[in-house]
Amino acid sequence: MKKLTILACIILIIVVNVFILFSAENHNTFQNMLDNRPESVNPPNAMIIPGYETESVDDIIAYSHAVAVAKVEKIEEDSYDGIGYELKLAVDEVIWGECPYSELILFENLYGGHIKEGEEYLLFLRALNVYAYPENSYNIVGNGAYIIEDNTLYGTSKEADNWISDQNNTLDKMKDYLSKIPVAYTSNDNSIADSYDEVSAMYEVSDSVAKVKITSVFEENAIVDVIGIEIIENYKGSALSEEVKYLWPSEKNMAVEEEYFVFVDADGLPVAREGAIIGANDSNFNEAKEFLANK
Amino acid sequence: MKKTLCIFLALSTMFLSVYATNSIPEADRLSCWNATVDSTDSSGNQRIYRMTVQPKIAFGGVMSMGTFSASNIEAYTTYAAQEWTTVGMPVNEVNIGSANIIVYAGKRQAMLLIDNTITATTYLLPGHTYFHNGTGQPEKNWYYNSDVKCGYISNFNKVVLIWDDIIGNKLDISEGTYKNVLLHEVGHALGWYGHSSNTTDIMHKAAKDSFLLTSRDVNHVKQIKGY
Ligand SMILES: [Zn+2]
Repeated sequence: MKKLTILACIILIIVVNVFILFSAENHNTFQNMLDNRPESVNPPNAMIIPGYETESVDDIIAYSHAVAVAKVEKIEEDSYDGIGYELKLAVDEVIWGECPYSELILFENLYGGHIKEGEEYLLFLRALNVYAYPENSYNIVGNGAYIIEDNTLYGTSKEADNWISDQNNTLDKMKDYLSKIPVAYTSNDNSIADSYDEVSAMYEVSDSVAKVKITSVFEENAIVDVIGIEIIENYKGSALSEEVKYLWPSEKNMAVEEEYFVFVDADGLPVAREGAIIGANDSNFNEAKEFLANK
Repeated sequence: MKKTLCIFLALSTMFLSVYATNSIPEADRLSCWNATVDSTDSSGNQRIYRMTVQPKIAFGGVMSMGTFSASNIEAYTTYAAQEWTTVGMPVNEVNIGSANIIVYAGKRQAMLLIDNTITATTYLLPGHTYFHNGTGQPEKNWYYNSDVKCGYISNFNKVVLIWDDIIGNKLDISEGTYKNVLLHEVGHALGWYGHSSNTTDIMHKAAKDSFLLTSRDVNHVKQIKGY
């Protein structure tokens, strides 16, 4: 009996010690991780204009479409010709604004390795809304990314700690804080259509429409070529110019001397992911030709 | 025998330390490196990168109507190449097909097609340099020397000059200031990863109306290049 008590005591001591050691290690790991965060996750080559620095949550919320809690499912190192990293995210909860997707693609540069696979973060998000990327593509606004530990928020960089305060440094307080901030605009306000069923509808939403001849092509990356143009006929707007070069889809394989009908926004970018840059081989070429003949 | 080895070791150490410190003033080294607090990787090592080929720059175009004047940005590209060349870091101006540094300028929405992290990084920045190798992948060829814990080689860099903020409002700087921004960004393209702590240096992080490289700007790049 005595032996058994001693044995039980020894086992208990071991269990307790292992538990203490384990929790201390856990605590140390988290503290170590906090200590080892980068000072800032702005890339070291990002220039600033004095007076534009981020100082608080209010600064980044002004440019956000949504604030969400999301888990990083996967980090793809080599995406879109190496333009940054592509992160696949699962959205758990949208706490402010609008984000209609349960899965997101996030483009990040991961300087300092501040965001890790398998971890969950509170993220200030902005939809990319550029035609060559999928519609669920987002950026983190000004590196507004927070680690959530026991409801408390910690910046993924030490600098981001300064943007939160007593008013919003836990997930609950942040929800409360953001609930008082009106949503200024949503990602739908300037979202890009996949395509238009009719050329006439595409014409209506375009800032500029023209028939152009290609004068130069430079393969910039996997998604766009740099295109020089000569305007053969301008049907609408003034976003097209021979002085400017255009980032049009590389999948069109445009070549010098070819002619295209182009439907673009004020930035000279196609108004739809498909069917807005129309060459002789495209299915809506004749429709565009007939429609524009009457303009 | 032991004595000989000792003397030999002492001499080689002395020789190596003199060789390593080279002609770059100590003050320039330390202040520059201390300023690169941003440029640590996840292991806490400072990162630099460098071009191992002759830098060849080209103006790739203004990509949005009603923004920059193409002739101004082209002239600023020429100026940046000349200024870096004048101080001993030769940059050749070439046509786009043979360039390894390409300069684009335009609205943020267009620039996102060249560098899709410019919103994620800093959402109001007027210029950014992105590193590619020839096939478009950022290189991760790490190397080591006595001053720098680690770094990587990037022989194809893109510079973007950005006209507007994240919601399309023109940034509050004049077109002339982009001459400074471009000179600064070419410094990054040559291998300066991080910023100088000295506000008068071109490689300080703030855009301003000054257009002449300082000795600190130059010495740091020479250090990276192993001069
Ligand atoms: Zn910089």
